[in-house]
Amino acid sequence: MTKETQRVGRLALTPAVALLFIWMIVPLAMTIYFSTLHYTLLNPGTEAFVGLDNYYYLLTDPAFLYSMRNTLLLVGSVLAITIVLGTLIAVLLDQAVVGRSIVRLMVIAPFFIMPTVSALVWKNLLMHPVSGLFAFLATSLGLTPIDWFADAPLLAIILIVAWQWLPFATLILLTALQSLDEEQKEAAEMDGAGAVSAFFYITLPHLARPITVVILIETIFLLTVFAEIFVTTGGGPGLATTNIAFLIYLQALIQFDVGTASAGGLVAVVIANIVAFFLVRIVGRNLDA
Amino acid sequence: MARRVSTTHKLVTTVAAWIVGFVIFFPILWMMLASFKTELEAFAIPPSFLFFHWTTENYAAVQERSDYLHHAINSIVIAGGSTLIALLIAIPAAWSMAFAPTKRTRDVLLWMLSTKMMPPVGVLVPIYLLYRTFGLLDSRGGLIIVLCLGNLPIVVWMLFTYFKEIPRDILEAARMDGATVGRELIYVLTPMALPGIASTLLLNVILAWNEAFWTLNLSTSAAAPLTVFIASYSSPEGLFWAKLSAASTLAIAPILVLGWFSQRQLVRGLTFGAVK
Amino acid sequence: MGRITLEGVRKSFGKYAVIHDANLDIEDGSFVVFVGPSGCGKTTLLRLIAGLEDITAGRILIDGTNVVGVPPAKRGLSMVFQSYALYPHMSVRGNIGFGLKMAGLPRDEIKRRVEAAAATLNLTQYLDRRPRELSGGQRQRVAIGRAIVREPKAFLFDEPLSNLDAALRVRRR
Repeated sequence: MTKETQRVGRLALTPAVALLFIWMIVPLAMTIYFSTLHYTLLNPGTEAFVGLDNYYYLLTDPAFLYSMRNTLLLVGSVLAITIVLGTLIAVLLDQAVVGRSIVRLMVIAPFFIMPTVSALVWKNLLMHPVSGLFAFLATSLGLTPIDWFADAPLLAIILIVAWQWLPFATLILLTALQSLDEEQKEAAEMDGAGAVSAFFYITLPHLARPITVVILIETIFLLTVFAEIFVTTGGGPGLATTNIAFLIYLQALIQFDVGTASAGGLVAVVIANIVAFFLVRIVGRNLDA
Repeated sequence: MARRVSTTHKLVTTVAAWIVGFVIFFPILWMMLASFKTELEAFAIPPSFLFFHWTTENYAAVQERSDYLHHAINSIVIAGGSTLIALLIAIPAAWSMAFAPTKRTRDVLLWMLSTKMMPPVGVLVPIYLLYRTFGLLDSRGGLIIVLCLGNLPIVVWMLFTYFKEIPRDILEAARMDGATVGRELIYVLTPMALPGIASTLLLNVILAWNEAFWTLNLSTSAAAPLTVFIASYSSPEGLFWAKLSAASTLAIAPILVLGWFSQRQLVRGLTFGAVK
Repeated sequence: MGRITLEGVRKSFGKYAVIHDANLDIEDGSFVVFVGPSGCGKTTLLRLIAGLEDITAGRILIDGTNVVGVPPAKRGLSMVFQSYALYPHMSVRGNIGFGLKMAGLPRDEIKRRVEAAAATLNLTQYLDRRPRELSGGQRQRVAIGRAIVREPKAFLFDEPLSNLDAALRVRRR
């Protein structure tokens, strides 16, 4: 490589770097700035510097704490469901299955559906307490149908989101499984391991790294679940399905409270950054490999 | 596998896999079926599975609504536009990182990926206010900008991984043959990397098409893509379910097809190489 | 035409010096072979002369002009790579003619030269094939064709014998 190539290389890289830098820095700087102001769009012109007051009020606001709880529940449950089921389905699909490619398509499909469409299908066609399919199944079995969005709204959201992300986990884990050396499995069999032992002692450890990656990536994206909530419950009833992303949205675009929303936004960024730190480390290690 | 699997084993796994696949796919299937029912039947209890009066009246109704077409065109323009612009910026950048790397290259790449990990809510407020000030709210251009920048890290990353697979000496041969960097990109690199570029294009069009945070918050009607259009049906009006199903099926069908072709790219693009 | 002189050429990658102090005077029309154990810097030297790497110190003169800092295309040299580095998406005709296209030669001139080179190398019947459809020996000839068609001042061959099997190699040597 020559100096000339290096020079052109730097030039070629500049637009991407510059644009992403501006995209990150400018809004972030503005968010930080706004978070130190008392600034509401309902009363423009009354902005005043209040230092860290917004953070204080935010972190002691029961609504905020409740939304954090919801966020943790949402992320945690979806992670658990997608990883456990994802692993099992991946193991299943790794076997000899007739028509495997069609089954794969069926399993992958939910990830490619717009979140707004998914949410509405689940809400209206499946979970509707009167004419939804679940209600029908319940009454045919002699049970009372669950009014999902009134009695178990967060669970409903968790199910919808888990359904959407299950293909992602399954696909990643299936790809990882297919890189598992066939000979390892055969050695285990020679050593007398049954299917279950082979799973726990060979398969699962091999999947440890991909599972970690899935956890990290899903966490980053699940922290900001928005469309499903927007389209089904609007955060309610009350705050039952408000996660931190939705709370910030409410504060910013419904209550027009720019100051508080900015503080909340920054909290979300900090949390995401912590997770991102670990993910970037793993990616970096893979790059060097 | 060199050994034959027992037929019972195969039968059990096949049946189990098909059941699982069917259960997961079911909501989509159910929606597609509903799109062919009359509104009354879509709402009826007990719901009928296959034996109902099949009709295409819902699709006709959806096609007639000019605003459906309007939003579909918005989706195409926004998803396509943002991805193409991202490609234009990303191809030189990925070339640079793959063939003119410096000590900093690895860090720059990781930094770019980290910008994708920033939660959009964190910058909702300033972006919204900036867009309001500059008249970019509810504009296709505005959405193209946001989606382009949002997906740029993934586009760069994916192209980087594809470019790295191209033998360096072919590009050097082009240089010996008198090509400038620009011509090297156009005449040699891009044609050779075309499959990789196509895969990257595919995956990112899908991601942009389905994007439902910025589109919901930054557009209302004029520039609203299909994500917003469908969301406007969120108040439960049972008599619209069949039509909603038809509209939704139309909205997702092209993506399902594209998605089928981009499974492997999904792994490559969204796990940032952390899983091989 | 084609006299290459190296004066005090040094090349280091970081702290690691690969070429220590190379002085060479190659007359026009002569045939020079660099031999040595692997890793001793033969390819590096070739790449320095070609202009694919920058030298750390010294001068490289082609016909008396110092070409340090001059890009490869402008040095008037042609190189045949160890792996041949043919363009997989172009036909043999496209491969051989690419350099002429970059130089901006008119189309009929390119056609004439390409077909002349192909005739010399017995490649005429393969002109419209892709590299992947050719055997190793045919690909080597395409690489050579690509090099000669530009009528360079000198040819650089990187490990030209390593792709042939041993018996053939001893014969060619």
